[in-house]
Amino acid sequence: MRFSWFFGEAFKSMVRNGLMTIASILTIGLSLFIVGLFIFASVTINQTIGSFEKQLEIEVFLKDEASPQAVQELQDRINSWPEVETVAYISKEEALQRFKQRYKDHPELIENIQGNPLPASFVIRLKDPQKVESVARRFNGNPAVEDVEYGQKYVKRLFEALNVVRYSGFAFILLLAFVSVILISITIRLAIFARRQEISIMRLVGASNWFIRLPFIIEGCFQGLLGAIIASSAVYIVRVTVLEKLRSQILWLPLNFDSTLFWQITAGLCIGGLALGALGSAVAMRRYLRV
Amino acid sequence: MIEFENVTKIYPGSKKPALENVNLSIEESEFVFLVGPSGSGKTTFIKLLLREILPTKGTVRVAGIDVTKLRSWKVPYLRRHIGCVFQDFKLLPNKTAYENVAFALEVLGRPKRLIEEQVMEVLRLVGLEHKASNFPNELSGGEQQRISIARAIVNHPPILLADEPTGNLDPATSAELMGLFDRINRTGTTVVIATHNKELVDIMRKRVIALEDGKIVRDQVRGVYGYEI
Ligand SMILES: Nc1ncnc2c1ncn2[C@@H]1O[C@H](COP(=O)(O)OP(=O)(O)OP(=O)(O)O)[C@@H](O)[C@H]1O
Ligand SMILES: [Mg+2]
Repeated sequence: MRFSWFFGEAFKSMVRNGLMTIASILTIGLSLFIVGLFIFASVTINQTIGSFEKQLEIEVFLKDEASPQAVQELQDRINSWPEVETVAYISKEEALQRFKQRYKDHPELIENIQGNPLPASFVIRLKDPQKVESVARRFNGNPAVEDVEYGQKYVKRLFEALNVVRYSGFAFILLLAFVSVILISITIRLAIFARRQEISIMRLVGASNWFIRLPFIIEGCFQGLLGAIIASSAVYIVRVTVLEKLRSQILWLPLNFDSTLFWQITAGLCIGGLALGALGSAVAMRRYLRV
Repeated sequence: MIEFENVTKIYPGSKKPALENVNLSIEESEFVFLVGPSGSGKTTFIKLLLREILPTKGTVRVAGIDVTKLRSWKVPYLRRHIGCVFQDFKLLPNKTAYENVAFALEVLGRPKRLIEEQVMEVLRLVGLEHKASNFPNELSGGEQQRISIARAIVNHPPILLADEPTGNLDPATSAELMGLFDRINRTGTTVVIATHNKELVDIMRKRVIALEDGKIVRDQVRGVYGYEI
């Protein structure tokens, strides 16, 4: 078969059905744009939440009377846990220095210190901050440990809240994707419906089903791809205008927009657009090919 | 070439059959007129041959093949052997006159050069080479009809069906067209023409099959349109 001929047919038909083609491309573009934008926003929010969580630490305060040997043993043990990302040992002297550094504007606090009341400690960061509680619990009853501090009071509620944000964002994107798939397939269905006569005429003058289908599927692919490109461009524009402005105004927010994410979304939208365009056309044509 | 065996067609939703117990046989390279008043079942007859519809009862055979049992994917191959001029033309609205005619050859996978040659030749034959790049909505009824005729004959099918092919043509063009059909018939093509056109039927003196209310009421070898003669 002459493949170029089918492409020629597809492009001719798109040009001659100009308005319908534009309407389809815009519908696909708009639907994919909304999905893409919310994926982008949700991933960015998740990353931000993640970087907040990463700052969670477990502080293990050691008893003054704990032997250096016991402390070393404990450190080795902590290091052997797979959940642990880093462990830092902070001696009594370092703790005092940090304290002085932190309160250097309040000399009255520092003056009142007699000797060194501050304990030595381990500061532990975890690969998965959500495990903070279970890791902290392992120090219970350890003879070398005086106390464990990890924000017991709020950490649980914080994680609950963050998880609600995460999962509801995910559910919302699924819903949006579902709606846009429906919207796109209805658009394609209508476009094919408007041309059902054409399809039945082609059948009547001896065209095989694939001969009829192929140009329509190529059209669908092209429209899906073009819609996806429009959607990605729109996501990019939103990224460089709105979000960039947001970042410059809310400095404390560790928003980071990486371009890999953008390209991943673009690739996803293109694949989605292509698949929806091709499949949507093929499915919508089925009933008119039975004549 | 064409055989109807006890064919009855009742359209879904209607009680009266459009064709009732029709038996007939048309030999290879015959020239047949199918006549009868409006609603007598002529178009239904043609649709059955093209397998556009299936009979309610009976068998339709084309070139020895039982069309009613033909698998759906084989139907296009049947249709490539039957050129058809439709009563409502059935031109593709988004294709030019040239492309509409060429489509019947594209379907066969013919090379572009050959297609160009043959399409221009039939367009000349129906007198419309100057309208090649016009779209159907830019053509008059008669011109559309002639494009439809050009498409039906361009691939030299062994069977040519024409449903009221002179309906939109003036007497002179109609007579010319009948001459064309006659010439095509002489090359061995089986020709079946459904028509109301009394004058032409009477002049041609070919086999006439008359339908009335879905039944064959007359089948004459060198017949005329009506009973009068
Ligand atoms: N799709 C359909 N559904 C229901 N009834 C139909 C359908 N097509 C045709 N009929 C009926 O079947 C009968 C025969 O119709 P047909 O089109 O074969 O007539 P015809 O001889 O071609 O008429 P004309 O000369 O006006 O074209 C008519 O009574 C018509 O109303
Ligand atoms: Mg009719």
